[in-house]
Order: sequence, then structure tokens, then C-alpha cells
Amino acid sequence: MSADHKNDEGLHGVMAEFGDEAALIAGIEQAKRDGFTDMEAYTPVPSHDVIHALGVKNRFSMVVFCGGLAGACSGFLLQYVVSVLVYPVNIGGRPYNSWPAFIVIVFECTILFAALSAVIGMLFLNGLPQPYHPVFNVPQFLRASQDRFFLVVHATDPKFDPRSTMERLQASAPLSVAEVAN
Amino acid sequence: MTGIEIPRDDVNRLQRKVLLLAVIAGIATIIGALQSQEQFWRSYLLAFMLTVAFPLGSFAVVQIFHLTHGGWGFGARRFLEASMRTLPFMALAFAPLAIFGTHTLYEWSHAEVVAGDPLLTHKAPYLNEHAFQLRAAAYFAIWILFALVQSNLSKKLDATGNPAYLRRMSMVAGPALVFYVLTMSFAAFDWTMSLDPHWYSTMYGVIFVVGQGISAWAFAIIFSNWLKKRAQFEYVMQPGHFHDLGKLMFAFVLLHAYTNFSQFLIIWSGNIAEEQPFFLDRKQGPWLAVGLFLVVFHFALPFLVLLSRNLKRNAGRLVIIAAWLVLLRWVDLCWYIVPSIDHEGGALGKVHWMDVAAPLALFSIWLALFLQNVKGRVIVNPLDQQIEAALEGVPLTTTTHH
Repeated sequence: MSADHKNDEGLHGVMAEFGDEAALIAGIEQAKRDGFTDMEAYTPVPSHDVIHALGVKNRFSMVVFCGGLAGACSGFLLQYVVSVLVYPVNIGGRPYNSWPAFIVIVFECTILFAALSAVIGMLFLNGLPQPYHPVFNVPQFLRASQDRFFLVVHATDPKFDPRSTMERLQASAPLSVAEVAN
Repeated sequence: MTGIEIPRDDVNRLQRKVLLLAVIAGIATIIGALQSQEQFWRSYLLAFMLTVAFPLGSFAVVQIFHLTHGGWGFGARRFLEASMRTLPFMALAFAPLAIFGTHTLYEWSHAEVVAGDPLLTHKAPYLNEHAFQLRAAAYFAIWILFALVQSNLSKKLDATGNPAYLRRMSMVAGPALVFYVLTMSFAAFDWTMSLDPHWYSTMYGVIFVVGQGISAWAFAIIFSNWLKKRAQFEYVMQPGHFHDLGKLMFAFVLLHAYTNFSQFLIIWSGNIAEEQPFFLDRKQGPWLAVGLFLVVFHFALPFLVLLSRNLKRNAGRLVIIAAWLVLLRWVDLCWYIVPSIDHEGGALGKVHWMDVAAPLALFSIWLALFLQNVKGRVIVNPLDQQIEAALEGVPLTTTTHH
């Protein structure tokens, strides 16, 4: 990282590299104590503890729940509109609105919509597809998918200052600290 | 042998309370039996179906553990084994019903009714008292045999720590589970479906099997939560284990609703005279309200609440849902059994106060016996090689010697 890049404008944030999950979580806790709120962590394996430490509000389950609910409603509506309003057929004297028979389709539509909203919601909430991300400007970050754990304090954090933030992160003894260019 | 045991004093204290309840409910039931023997057998059948769900469900859950080796089982398996070791008592409890109660309960046991009814005459080779008793003996023999085999293997495993026993338990578990589902289906046909001897439903057996599953998961959660409050057990019963047990109970709640609805949909769509009476009976009087109550509180409410991950990891809250479901098992069994029992003069059966007293009495006697079985037994054995995976790396620091 050359010296002339060191200004707030061109910076995505500051990155600290850790050797394992426990060290990363300790780093996150330290950064939280220092008053930083706008952070992101990168790990080679999924970790509930890291998510918990970061305090990420997960809206994903709500997205899937609403998707399922929308599926149930549209599944029922589809059958109601067709069999009651648009094309009513007398089948063995049963009522047009034969809701018990509709339940199976309602159930299937619930699953379908919930699954689709899970995939689409996952992509959307992750901000994917994303062809460019500044964290890859740091050479060490290549090991994020192998054996290293990273913490990035974003430049948008109100307490962010390139020099002092780097010093603060050094306090939790990471393997390395680097500025992340935009 | 080292390992974590349940503190004997705590079990004794709980057992005394349970026995007191058993005595009170038992006396009430005896008084009721003296008033009306007929009503006694009806309530006793309900009591038996409710109570047998715990040891038999535990039996099935132990087999599921041996087939899957989920982390949830390392804390729960040994007390569920204690629960399934009460099956000989359940056989003993069923004997008086099979010998003295059939004539009161089952229309098909009356020779003159069968003779005047072509359908019952046709079914007589299956639905007669001797065949009924013989089949019941066979069901219990199969369950007790498998329960004893697994229990002995478990004892040997605890004594030696030899993982070969764990493999042998897995080998036994597959056939045990298959036999359990088949025999329990037929037991449900015999013991409760035949209350309405003209009516039949192929879905009936699996509904009772799944219902016993709900009882067993709820029981596992409630007793794990009780254990969690004892010294040494806070490490054994972790949020992750309650999460797993909660998920499994959730799955069985869904499966129970699924099988019940399938039965309803098939009969509703078919709209055939032979199949309809079951639901026509339950459309009358208070039973319609009870049915709707079950849809909302046995399915919809637990379903929505158990969706939450945080709730399932919180033992104190999960145990409330589990206790609620145990209560709703009673309501569900009432809905299945009581309206089928009394058709005299076209009237449906009504819930009698003995339908509360008898289940309470039999269940608390069973619970006291279970606590006796669990007393002094190792619940977590450090020789268990898979224990570390189950405890998420928490070392077993506390052991007792004796």
C-alpha cells in the first residue's frame, strides 16, 4: 500500500488478519469496546459465534417466512379464483370452494415460494452478484477462503480514522493490519 | 465405574410428590370404578393409550438415536432407556383391560351383535377376544424383547466402554424401529380403531405412532430441563441439545398434522358412507369445537412458536411448549377415543371426570416407576467415546465414584 493512498476518500476501511476463530472474536470484542460499530468479518468456515459477536441482525428468516406466507395466499387465491369465480364446475355436488382439497396445493406453493425467496433473499441480502469488492485489494485476503480470519472496520464508521483505527486494531495482536483501498 | 448420576435425593423428592398424586388420583379412580364399571374401562383405555405413549415413544426415540447418533442423544439416551424399561409394567397394566374390559368396550366382542351383522361376521376371524389378547401379547413380547436387548447392550457399553456394543445397538435398532411401527399400527387398529368396528382408516396407525413420538420428544425435553438444574448437568444439557430436541418435536408436530389432515382429506374427498361416520360423529356437539381447538393449539400455535431458533435454544421456554403438547396429547386422545365409545341410543360419548383421574393415576404410577429406574443410573458415561463431539469440546470435569 503506497503512502499517497492514505486518505479517507480512497479507503474502504482497515483490515486485521487473525489465525483462528477465537482470535477473530476477541478482535471483534476489542473493536466493539473501542466504540466501532460498522464492521464486517470474513471467515473460511461458517461461524455462528462470529455472527453473534458482530451482532448482525439477521432478517433472512423473516424474508423466507414472508415468502412462504405469500406462497400460501397465492396458492389459495389461484384455486379460489379458478374454481369459484372464473370456471366453477360441479364435481360430485361438492362446494365450489372445496378448501380441504386446496390445502395440498397451498402447502406446495408455500414450500416453493419459501424456497425461492430463500435463494433470492440470500443473493439480495448478501449484495450478490458483486463483481468487484475492495477487500481483494489486500494480498493477504486470498487466504480468507483457506485458513485466515479477517476483520474489517469500514471507513464509514463514525469513529474511523485511518491511523488511530490501525493502532487500535494492533492492540488485539492480529497477524497483520492493512488499509483496504477502494 | 465413573460417570454422572442424577442426585438420588432429588429423584426421591420428586418421586414422593408423584406417588402422592398417584395415590390421590388412584383413590378417585377406584371410587369412580365402584360407581360405574363401564365408565371405568372407558377411562382406563384412555389412560392406557396416553401413558403407553411415553415408554413406547422413548423406545422409538432410542432406536432413532442408534441409527443417527445425533448429539441430542448423549444426554437423553440413558434416561429414555430407563423409560422404555417400564414396558413390562405397561404389559401388566394392559392385561386386566384385555381380559375383563373387552366386553364392555368393544361391540365386536358381543356374539349376538356379530351374528346379526354381516360386516362384523366377516371381520370376526380378526376381531374376536382371543385373537385380540393373542395379538396384544405378541406386540408386548416384541417391544419388551427389543427393549431388553438394547438395555443389556447399553449396560455392557457402560461397563466396558467398548464401541463394538454401540455398533451392535445400531444393528438392533433398524429392525426394532420397523417392528415398532408395524406393531404399533396394528395395536392402534386393535385397541382404539375397533371401538368403531364398522369404520376403518389406513392412516389411523401412523397417526398414533407419530403421536407417541410427540409425547416422547416432549418428555425428553421436560426431563432434560429438570436434569439441567441439577449439579453437574449444566454441561451435559446444552442449548444445542435443546435446539435439536426442539427441532425433532417440531418435525413430529408437523407430521402429526400432516397425517391427520391426510386422513381427513381422503375421507372427505371419497365421501363414501362407510368412511364418513368418524367425522360425522366429530362434527356434533362439543366435538367440533374440540377438533378446531386441536387444529389451532395442537398444530398452528406450536408450529409458529417452534419456528423460532431462539426459543428452541432456550430450555426454559421450550419446556413450556413441551408441557403444553403433553396436555394436548390428552385432548387429542379424548377426541379420538371418547366419541367412538358410546353409541347407545345414538348418543356420543362424553368426557367424564374419570377421564382425567384415571390418566393422572396411571401416568403418575408410570412416572414413579420411571424415576425408580433412573435412580442410581449413570446418565453420562465418560467411557462413551462420542461424548466429546456431543459436548462441543466441554471437558467432563466432574465425576462421581462409587
